[in-house]
Amino acid sequence: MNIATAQDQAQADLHAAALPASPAVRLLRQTRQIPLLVWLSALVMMLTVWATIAPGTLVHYLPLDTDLGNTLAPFSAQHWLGTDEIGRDLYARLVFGARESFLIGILAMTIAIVLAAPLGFLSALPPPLVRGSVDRLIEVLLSFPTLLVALMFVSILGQSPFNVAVAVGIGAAPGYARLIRGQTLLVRGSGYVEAAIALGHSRARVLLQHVIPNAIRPLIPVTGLGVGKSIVWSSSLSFLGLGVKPPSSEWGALLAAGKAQLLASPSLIVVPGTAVVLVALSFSTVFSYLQARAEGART
Amino acid sequence: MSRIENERAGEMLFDVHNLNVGFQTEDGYKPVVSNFNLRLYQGQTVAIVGESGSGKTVATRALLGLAGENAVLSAQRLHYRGQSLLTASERELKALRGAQVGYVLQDALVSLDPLQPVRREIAEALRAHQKLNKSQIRQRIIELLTAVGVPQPEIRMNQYPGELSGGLRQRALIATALAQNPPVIIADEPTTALDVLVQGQVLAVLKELIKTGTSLILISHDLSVVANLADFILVMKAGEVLESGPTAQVLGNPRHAYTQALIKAVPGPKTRGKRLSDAPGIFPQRSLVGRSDEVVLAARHLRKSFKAPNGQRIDAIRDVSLQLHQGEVLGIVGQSGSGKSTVARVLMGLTTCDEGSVLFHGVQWLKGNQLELRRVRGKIAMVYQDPYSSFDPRWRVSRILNDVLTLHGDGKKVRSDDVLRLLKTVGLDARHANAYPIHLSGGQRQRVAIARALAVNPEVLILDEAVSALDVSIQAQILDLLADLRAQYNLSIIFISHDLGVIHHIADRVLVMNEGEVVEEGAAEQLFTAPRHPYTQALLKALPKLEPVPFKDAA
Repeated sequence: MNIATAQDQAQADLHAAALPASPAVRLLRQTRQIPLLVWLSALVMMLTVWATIAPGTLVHYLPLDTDLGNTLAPFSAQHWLGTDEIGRDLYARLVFGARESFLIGILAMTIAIVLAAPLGFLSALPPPLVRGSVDRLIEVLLSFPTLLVALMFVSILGQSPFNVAVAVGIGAAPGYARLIRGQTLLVRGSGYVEAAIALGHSRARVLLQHVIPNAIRPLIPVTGLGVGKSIVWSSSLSFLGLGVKPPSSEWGALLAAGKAQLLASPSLIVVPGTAVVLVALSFSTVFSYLQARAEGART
Repeated sequence: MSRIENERAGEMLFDVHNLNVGFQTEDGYKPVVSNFNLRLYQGQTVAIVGESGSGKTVATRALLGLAGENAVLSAQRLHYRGQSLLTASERELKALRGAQVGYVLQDALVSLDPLQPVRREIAEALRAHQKLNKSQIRQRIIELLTAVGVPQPEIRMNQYPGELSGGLRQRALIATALAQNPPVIIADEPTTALDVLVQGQVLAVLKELIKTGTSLILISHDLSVVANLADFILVMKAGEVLESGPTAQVLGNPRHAYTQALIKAVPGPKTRGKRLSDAPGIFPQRSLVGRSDEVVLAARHLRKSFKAPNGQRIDAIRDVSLQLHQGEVLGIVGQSGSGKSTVARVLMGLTTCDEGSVLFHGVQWLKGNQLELRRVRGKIAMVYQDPYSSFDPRWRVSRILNDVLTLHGDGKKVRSDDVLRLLKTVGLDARHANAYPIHLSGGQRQRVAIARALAVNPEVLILDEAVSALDVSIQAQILDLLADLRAQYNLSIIFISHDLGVIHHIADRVLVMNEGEVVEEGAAEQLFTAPRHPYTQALLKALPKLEPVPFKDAA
């Protein structure tokens, strides 16, 4: 055996490891490694998505149907999670509320990223003067707590589900702008950007081909985390009476309504509260996992 | 092994027979070391040589019970001073580490706690096994630092690792291993990250240790480092000991083909113009090297300084001039921080220089407009030390090469054939085209980087420490590849390296740089055989040589 053949062998082995025979085998191997907690979280996420797309298929009451002979009922076969003070089925309200909460969460996150991306790139790329001032602006915005900014905007814009999403989106944007800024700076100083310049690529091409895609890439899992957070924030707004108004069953509104019956029927506040926590946690768990996987595979 | 048994030395310290180490992973059991044998007698030095991944570190860590949590150990004999370590409790092993066996970890740059002054690090090692009062500890620390050749130990002991140079950190690390005065020291790649001069100093410290009767287990990928220190050499590959024996025998009369190839692969004065690896050339015939006196790339009186955080200006390069002739290999050699890389970056226009000019075929190309700049960049290509970071991680190899071919292809559509042809020139094939850089080995990545550099069809190739991070055998292949490519395409090459052996092997002309200045310049043969500048002389003197010590009859 000489070095050359040994080396070839090593290379062949490497290939066998890097490129397995069939994608199905690879998929199977990968799914086996996913921890149970992530599976459970994914299940919760899927239920949320289902409730968003087709809430009617999950329930046999409508969220506004009243059953006045059966108010503040405990958990039962008839009303799985009981009823509220005017006999509305809590389970039905929760499922229909999921749609509102989830859509607000996604919308808020989208708005946040749409606002954050230009700010983030502007604060990392152009001439120092622009860069510096945008950077200071982001710092000023960051100094206000997200919820406070959201509160302010929802009071200016008025109460509606859409405005709640806008308010939460604006509140969350500076944080993401900062994240994009950091990523952009990191990528801008990387070896492959330098190599692309040394090869004779134009600046615009380097920016579009390397800097922007690589700066955005790590953000994808973060967006998932952000949806969970946005749900919590929009629920907080509703709970404070500044978000979605009753009779909507948005989860924050459910919490606010349940507050009045805290002693008579604590489940009215415990159940939607648990739902908010569970969904937010699931999003965090799944997307943190995906983030870790993506980073592990890339660096 | 019989020769080792016959060696009439002191007490036998380590006696390892058929040691197997493997790891229990999710995909099942993975053997890392198999049938490892080692005997270490008092006062002897055993060197374990092998490429990265050959299992040399795992094997020695297993001796101390440090192989890892999911490691599976088995051995017919794993004895230290006649006592079995396989059955030893964690407490007994703890007593062994430090007091009996000092372990010098790989990579001194990260093995020392950055938040502790050196004195605390050593004191910790001292207190682990003995009770000493403050003044005793202080005295012992000074003794230890003096023993490992740290100048001004009273001052140095109060400094933090960040304030020490690489060589001093390595010596401080050796001092912690020596703290308990152990009969055995295990040193894992003690000089790997160090410059030649510093490496020489650390080797001198180790030599001093050997003189005082300490037994040493030395792990290295570099045969020339161990050649002067070791009594016995074990050559490892893929977890197995392929060859073992007295140094003179292993180096002078290697029996295993792998050892022979390994010795042959070490570049140096004797290998000039010869192939280092057994891999056949990629091109059927070597065309003649057409060297001419035409100057392709020249730099005149380059000067560049950086601003340090404390406001001081640091001169990275001062007054550097160079000329690269058509078809020649110009070697630039110097220690880290000597300004070699800055020169390369200035030549490429990646860094501006404060003064001076860069001429490409007599034209100051860096003064041109953006379009001109981009055109000339196609004529000068660069290969970096770390190829991986120079690739966009999202791109497959085919896209990396396609991108460059499109850029300099006069608007023609690039076909996959072109990419394949390019891969073939650097000894890769279609399988590699669809791989991501992360899935390639270090040598393969460097080949892709060279392929990318060739894709622009360059006249000048600048290689910045392009083989420094590679194993000797891979390095040999890459150096052979470069020699082939140079002959085939009549390339002019600037080859930057801290490794004198590599420079001596490949360069026609050599520049020696120190602290931002060119201290000596000349034809390679002349410069290496009759260096004039004291700095060059010091560099050459510090270079460990792969010449086996005269054969001593062991019996």
